[in-house]
Amino acid sequence: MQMIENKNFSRRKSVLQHPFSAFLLLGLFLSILQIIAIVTDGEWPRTSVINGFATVMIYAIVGYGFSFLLGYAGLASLGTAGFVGFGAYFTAYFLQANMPYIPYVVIMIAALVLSILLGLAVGFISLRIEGIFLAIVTLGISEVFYQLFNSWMPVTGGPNGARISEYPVFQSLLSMSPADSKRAFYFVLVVVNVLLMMLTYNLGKSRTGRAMLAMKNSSSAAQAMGISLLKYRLLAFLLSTAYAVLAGVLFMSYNRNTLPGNYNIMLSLNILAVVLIGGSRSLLGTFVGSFIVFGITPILFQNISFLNENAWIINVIIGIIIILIVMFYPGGLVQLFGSLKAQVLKLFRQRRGNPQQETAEPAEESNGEKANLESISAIRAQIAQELNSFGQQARNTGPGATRVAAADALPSDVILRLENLSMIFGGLKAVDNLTFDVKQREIFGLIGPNGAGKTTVFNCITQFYKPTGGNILYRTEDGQVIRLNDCQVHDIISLGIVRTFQNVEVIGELSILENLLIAAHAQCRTGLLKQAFNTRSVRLEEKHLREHAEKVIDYCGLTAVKDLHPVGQPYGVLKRVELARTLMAGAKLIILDEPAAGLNEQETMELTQLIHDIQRDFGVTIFLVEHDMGLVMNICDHICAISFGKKLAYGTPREIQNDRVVQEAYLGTREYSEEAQDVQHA
Amino acid sequence: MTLQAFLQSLVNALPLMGRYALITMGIVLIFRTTATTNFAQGLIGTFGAFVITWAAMEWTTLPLWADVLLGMAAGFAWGVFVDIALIRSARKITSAGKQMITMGVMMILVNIIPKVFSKIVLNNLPGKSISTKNFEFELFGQFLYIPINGIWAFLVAVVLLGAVFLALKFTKWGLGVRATAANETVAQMLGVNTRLITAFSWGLAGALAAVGGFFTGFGTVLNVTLMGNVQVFAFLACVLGGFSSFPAPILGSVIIPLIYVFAGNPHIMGSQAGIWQNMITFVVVLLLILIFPNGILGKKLVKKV
Amino acid sequence: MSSMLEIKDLCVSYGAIEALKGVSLSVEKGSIVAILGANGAGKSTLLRTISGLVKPKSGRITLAGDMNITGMVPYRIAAQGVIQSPEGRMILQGLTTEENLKVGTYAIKDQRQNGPSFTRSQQIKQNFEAVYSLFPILYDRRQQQANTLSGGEQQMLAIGRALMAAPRMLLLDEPSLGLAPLIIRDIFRIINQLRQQGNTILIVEQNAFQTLKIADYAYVLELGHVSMQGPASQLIHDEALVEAYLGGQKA
Repeated sequence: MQMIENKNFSRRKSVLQHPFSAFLLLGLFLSILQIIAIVTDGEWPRTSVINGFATVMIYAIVGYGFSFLLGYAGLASLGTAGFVGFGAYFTAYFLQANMPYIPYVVIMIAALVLSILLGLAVGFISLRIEGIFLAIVTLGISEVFYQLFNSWMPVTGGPNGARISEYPVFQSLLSMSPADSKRAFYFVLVVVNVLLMMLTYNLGKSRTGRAMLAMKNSSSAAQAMGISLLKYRLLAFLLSTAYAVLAGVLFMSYNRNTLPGNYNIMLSLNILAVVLIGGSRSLLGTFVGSFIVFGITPILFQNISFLNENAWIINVIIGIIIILIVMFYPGGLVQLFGSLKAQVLKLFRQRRGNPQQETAEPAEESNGEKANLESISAIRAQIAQELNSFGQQARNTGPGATRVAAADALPSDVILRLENLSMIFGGLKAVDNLTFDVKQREIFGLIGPNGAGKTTVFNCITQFYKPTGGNILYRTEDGQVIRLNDCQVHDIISLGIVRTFQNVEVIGELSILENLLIAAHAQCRTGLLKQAFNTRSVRLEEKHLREHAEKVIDYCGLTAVKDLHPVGQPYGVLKRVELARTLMAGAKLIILDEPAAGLNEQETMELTQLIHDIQRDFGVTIFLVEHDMGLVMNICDHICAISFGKKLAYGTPREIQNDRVVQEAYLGTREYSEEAQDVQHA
Repeated sequence: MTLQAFLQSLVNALPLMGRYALITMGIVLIFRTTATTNFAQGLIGTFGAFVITWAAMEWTTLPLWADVLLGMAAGFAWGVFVDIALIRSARKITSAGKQMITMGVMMILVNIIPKVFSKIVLNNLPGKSISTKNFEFELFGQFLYIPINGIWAFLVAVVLLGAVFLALKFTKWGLGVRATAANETVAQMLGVNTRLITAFSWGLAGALAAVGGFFTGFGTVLNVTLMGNVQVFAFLACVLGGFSSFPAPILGSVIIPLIYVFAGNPHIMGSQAGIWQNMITFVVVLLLILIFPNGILGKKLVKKV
Repeated sequence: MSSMLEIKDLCVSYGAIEALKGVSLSVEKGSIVAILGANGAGKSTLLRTISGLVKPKSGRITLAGDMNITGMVPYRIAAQGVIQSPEGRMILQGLTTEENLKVGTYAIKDQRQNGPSFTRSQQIKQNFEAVYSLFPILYDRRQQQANTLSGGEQQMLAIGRALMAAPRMLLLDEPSLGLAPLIIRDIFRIINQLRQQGNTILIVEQNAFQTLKIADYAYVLELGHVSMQGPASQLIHDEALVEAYLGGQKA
């Protein structure tokens, strides 16, 4: 049954062309329009229509950049207008008749560099706090720019606007006529549009795009997988800034004049609408959005004077559309069409009698659980051998300079040591002078009643909290001893420490396979530029990653669902995805945060087996925090019990179970019984 | 820079403080009760300002304060509408999503205001004007002046905000607002009708914005871009002061006007002052935010993982 | 004896996770009923559902025999006299001790109290006196910022806050959480006192033995369903209880 489903899928895929073809087709269409216009000498399509499409293309470029910010990083900005204006005015200033000759490309690059520097400064300040403050700060940027455009007469021409006398390159260098230059520039716009669509597509599909999506869906998971939130937010912001400035440069080059009023808040809001309408991650959708917002009036409604005079109606409708999309259709028109398409296809499928959505291989069938678990386990051992060759590469990366303790600070059989660890929140001592060792390759459990501080210990080790006292020492793969307190949260993973989350943090907007690819983010080496051009080294790296991921998926029994999104999958599957991520990251120390939470008995058994197998096949150390005593007592080599942040006991499961102090901590004591019963019967 | 120029700048800052504070109060009320940055705040205020002007010109027998109340009512209505109809109806919305809804409202307002009020010009409200004249006085031997409506702006802001803070501290509603701001779920469990509370807070924010709009537009030709500048600095005031309490952003709305007037002072900045005023203010504010990332009076929140 | 709270076949899910799978229980008027069980068993979910913070998939919650409060809006459930002292105490930041207590008065409904001639402010005054006499330390600290109180004092504040509306049904979610043993003893003594004053209390706890001493009846939740129940005096000697918490298998 499963095979048929996959075949349908791949057949559909080969029919669906690569999106690049769609981009090229669009470019072709736009070019043909202009060619016909040239042939008919402006009869049809009319010049206003051609100019309309030029405008659509220019603002689509802004939209592509904005989609990084909104669709990938999940941030909203209100500063787009300012940056577009900056590009336009910068170009105008240096192309004025009385300025010395500067090559066009140099001007363009200078504008980009300056704006990136500005974006860095502003972004660094505002993105450090919280993402939502970006909108406030960018609003300010736009105001500042607007005042400049409107008041700085000598440079920007003030309220009269800026003007350049000649079309750059074509007229000034090649001495073509103004009309021909403008037409030539139209083709430049087409080329730039198509190129940028391709580059943006590549970036979106690359690990950079994945990292941003991870950050947007779950900032905790992203950090745990080595993604620096500040870095990627800044990157998204800079990209959107660069695209906006480029569009401004092109705007000025095509139109040769501009007014300050072009760069007010309406432009920023319109760009937002463009991206929302199209679906924030779809490039063709963005183009369509740009057409709807900027193109409909000049292109389609030229002759409808009512709408010309009452453009405000369209704007109000666009505002309403923004609200409706955010409230009901976050995926924009694309989502709308996608769901319509899905509905139609579902009808077809039901007609043909194909089977329904698959779920994960129940890694263990419901009959004869124990026997089946064992056979699955044996299969895993085989897969593990192939996996171990990947694993070697994964673990050998480490952060650059971290303070290293003496190599003999830890006995050779200890991988993690907590030394007088303390965490104080406001006056409250959540963790109080806690000390214990975790030995190499063992399964270690941390237990304690509710509120004992287990999660806090956890977060301290993984640097989600900075401990207020004590040391956390860790022995890396190559034998160095590092003090974790000195590390940043997103560097932890490159030391080989990977954690899971109590409320499973999976990235909803990525498929399960892609969720695993994120886990290897910290190991990748290819730079941003290479990713944009999808060079050979990038493709090789991706291929390697995917092969690795598929093996891990087989190991964890997720093969059937690897291309599905996590939404709607049973909790047991999601837990396995999180575990798979730790394997993918080449973990040496896996920290599990209540892995059995929310699982039924069957799922808990399967999980227990998986944890056993992982430890057996990969020689990793496993540290878990858990409430399910069945799981803990069954699986752990050593357990530390804490209460009120203090250590109660340490030992083997049996020792802990029989420990009176531990029992008291959980259940209270019977001693108080006598006096209390007196009170009760008084 | 002479002493006179210095003192005059300080005096110039007072009306600004009044106007900014009115908007800032609304922003922080909304943010602390519903975790939304309402970018439509300025335009709601603009709408209110237009309503006041129109009422003043339509109904010349009504006293000015009645017109202002009318404008406040309009602002109140818009605030309640946006909260109930939009923000509340969208269940699973992220903070960025709520921001974008308010941006959609911006788009709508910025286009319908000129249409609805296409013939309004606010100059001297016949017969009921607060004077557009200046009040001249002497301080430390220097002759200074302040527009009379500027005095009104400052005083009205002090009174209104004072009333709001007193209400926050001593009334049942105020307690409900602070409880909701602290922990909405717990407040609900204790019997607080948080929906009513937040709707009222949004409404109050709108009403305050209308007053702010009125003073900002006084003596000018009303334009839909009236509050653009003010809103930006009101938001920055919140970031500068710190979002974690109600009074902290007001500190921001006191500091920023001071920076603003000196950034635009020709004695310091020369004749180009008008061009760079926004930029200088902005840069200084950003630098301050760099030093105080959680606001001057803000507290760093440790996020629970 | 009449039942104050009756829960039948309550099923609650958080997305894919089934937190409560058909839980039924009842609380007699004027008694203390304990809900015990290890973490993740669903105890807090139960209280959150009763308070209306979570909508159940199915099942019924009936108050005082005739009022169906299943899935009602939280503030109206509070107005009906079902008030919770939440897990972790959840003191409202930025408010003083007295203001925290005052928030509890939102749920007071005039007509439920001592007749129409008793105004709301009189009711509030009386409730303040009652709570302060129960927790004198809160009176001493009434003007202090609530988050400067110690853990035990905050727990008293949370309970006092729930009492401010003279609830018909008091829900206590893990009052012993994070408190030193001596303080826990004081808290439980006060809870006992409350029952003697005629209050009806549903208490969720991990601390089994102390709770069973003061409770009349108890239910043990395991993975979302009731695995054991009975009079507290019986359960307290039951060895199966230890197993339910710490796992009985010899490793």
